[in-house]
Amino acid sequence: MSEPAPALEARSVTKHFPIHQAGRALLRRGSVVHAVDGVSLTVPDAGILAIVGESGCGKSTLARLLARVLTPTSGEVLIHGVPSTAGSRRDYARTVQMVLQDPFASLNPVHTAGYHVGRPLALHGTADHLSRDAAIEQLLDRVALSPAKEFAAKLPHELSGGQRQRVAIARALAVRPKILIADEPVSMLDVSIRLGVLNLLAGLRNNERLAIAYVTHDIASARYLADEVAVMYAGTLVETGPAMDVTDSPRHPYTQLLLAAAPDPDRAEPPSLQGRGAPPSLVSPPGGCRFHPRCPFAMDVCARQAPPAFETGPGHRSACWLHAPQIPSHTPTNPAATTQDATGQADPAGEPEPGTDPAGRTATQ
Amino acid sequence: MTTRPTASTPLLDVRGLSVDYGVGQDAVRAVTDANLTLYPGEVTGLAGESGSGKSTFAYAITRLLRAPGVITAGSVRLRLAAGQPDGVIDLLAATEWQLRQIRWSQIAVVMQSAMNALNPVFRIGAQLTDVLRTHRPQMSRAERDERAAELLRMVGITPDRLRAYPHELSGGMRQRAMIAMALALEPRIVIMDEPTTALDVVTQREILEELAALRERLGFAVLFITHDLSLLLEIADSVSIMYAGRVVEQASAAELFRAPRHPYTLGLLGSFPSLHGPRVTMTGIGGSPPDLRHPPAGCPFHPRCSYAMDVCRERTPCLRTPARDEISDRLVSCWLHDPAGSSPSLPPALAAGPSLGGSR
Repeated sequence: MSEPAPALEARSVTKHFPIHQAGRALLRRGSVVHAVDGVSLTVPDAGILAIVGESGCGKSTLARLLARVLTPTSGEVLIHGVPSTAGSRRDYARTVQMVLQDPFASLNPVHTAGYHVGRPLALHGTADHLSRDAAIEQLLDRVALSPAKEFAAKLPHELSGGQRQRVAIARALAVRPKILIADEPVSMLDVSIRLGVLNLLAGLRNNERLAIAYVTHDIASARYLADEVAVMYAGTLVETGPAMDVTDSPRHPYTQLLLAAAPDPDRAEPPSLQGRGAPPSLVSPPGGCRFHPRCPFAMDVCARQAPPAFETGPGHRSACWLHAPQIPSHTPTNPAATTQDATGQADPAGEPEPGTDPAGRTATQ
Repeated sequence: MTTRPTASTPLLDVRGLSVDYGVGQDAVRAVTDANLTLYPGEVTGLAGESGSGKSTFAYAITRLLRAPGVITAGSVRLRLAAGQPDGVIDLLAATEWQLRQIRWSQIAVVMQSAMNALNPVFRIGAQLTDVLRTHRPQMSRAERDERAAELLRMVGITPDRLRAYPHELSGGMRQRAMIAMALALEPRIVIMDEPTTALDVVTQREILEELAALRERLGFAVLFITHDLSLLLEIADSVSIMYAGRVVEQASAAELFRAPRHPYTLGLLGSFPSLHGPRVTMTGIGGSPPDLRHPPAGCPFHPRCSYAMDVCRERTPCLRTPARDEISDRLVSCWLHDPAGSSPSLPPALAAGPSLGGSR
């Protein structure tokens, strides 16, 4: 590509966790949990990528891989085009920082907000001893905790959930990272203060050109905050694209299901879900497309071969055979089946199924 | 959604309920003067942030509140089924024996987080039949087992799961089992405290669908407690919004969504990003919920309210019909809507007619 390298890029990153199950006959020795399988994505420079998925889909594992907390089983993570393993762990932490889900657990209850923010400054030598207090106050000001002097002296229990998460964000910003990985940063917060934290992240992107990977289960907040959305299902990426495109015209049947199930007061009547059921076991995931056992549009090919990502619009990709320009010739299909698949493909791709796209959405557009 | 029959009398009528945690000087007022009416077959929602007192309120109604929680005032009047002699009973004055008769058979509770509510060392079947053994002593063992299987089938679980332990079920199935357990004695009221909060959206939707179908069939009323207002507006007939232990607004779900009257409701509605339409910057509500140990004087919302007036800082408004909505049965506790007319001009966002389109 001729464009400048993206801030953060994952190239077919895979993470398998071995299972230690002595004496269980059910599981073969050496079985693994396929937590993340062949995920490729990019976080644009000064952009926000939302990684959306249900619990257990591997989105937090992916976040940890991106933050180099975990080492991928295969594949690589690149920072501005440079492999993450090129430098030391400490150098990496200086570029990529992480904000965790639970601000009630991620701050030490016996230390002040100022101490938490000051620690990375000391460890990374970003600010010397004399200028540290000023740097701490500046950081707290950046996350709108003012008066900063007062907040620096407060202990976590004196802060509300939103304020604690702001301290956690300030701590992540202390080493002046280029990339922030936020793993469900607002899911533990009260609804009325969530937007404040989301707007803070948006401000950091706009004003300081910070690239952010925002991991969430809430597709509405992804639509609100992110530039790009990546939808995960059972350890694989199913759809990526510009946030508004993905949420307004979802291509992959799983994304359509997620959107249909999401709470929406504008909805006139109850949605009809297509693809009920639960995600598969990641120890022995289904062959082919991992969504095919639930998928209302599943075809023969879906069980045989995992679909690659097909381009369905500018920057919009869907890993679904429905969007294949043609059913691959290298799969052994007879001609009759191919034509049948081709007609089946035009239907949900061109005109969304009436059931999957609630009437309310088209009405408001 | 059901339409409320005009002549129907409330099933459950809570008036002026107040709950303190602790006694004496250090008491924290968790619920203040809260009212709630539940009609037969209706879904009433109770929404609020964490610490707004919504769970305490539900526990107080059912007399399940544990020390140091103390009910200091109010009445909870439950209308008994037609065959019962008393007619109406005040749960707050009921004896332990009376409560035993009412709990589960009249009012059942689905607790928050089925993970902790099910006993991990007993099989699902044993926990289901336990209820029947206590409340229906005349049932034989075979009848109990059959009823347990039927209950599981009702919530979409195959009866072979009766032999399973809670850890062998997924989160969604555990929650379904909890609902099955609550419905074991066919209660007329089911109180659900954040029943779907820990679940994924698809599972949540499936359980809500099942609940709607069961309600259609069995005709129980639901008090649905959640922090997720956008979900509540979809499933509830009427909604009460709680803030800092007080009910600040009560209206039908449609009215509340289209034309919120309380600034806090307006703020809450503005805290949920929409799934459609152009992307607009939303602000949520500035500040944070008050510390109930030191509640602000006057209206508890005034420090975060952008419409706060002098009177808001001095006097607490009470829940009453807003000045401009005489005909509807909605209630709001805000000086902006005081019929005495201390507010000359109402902010347009809070004055929308119920027939207007969405306010956001």
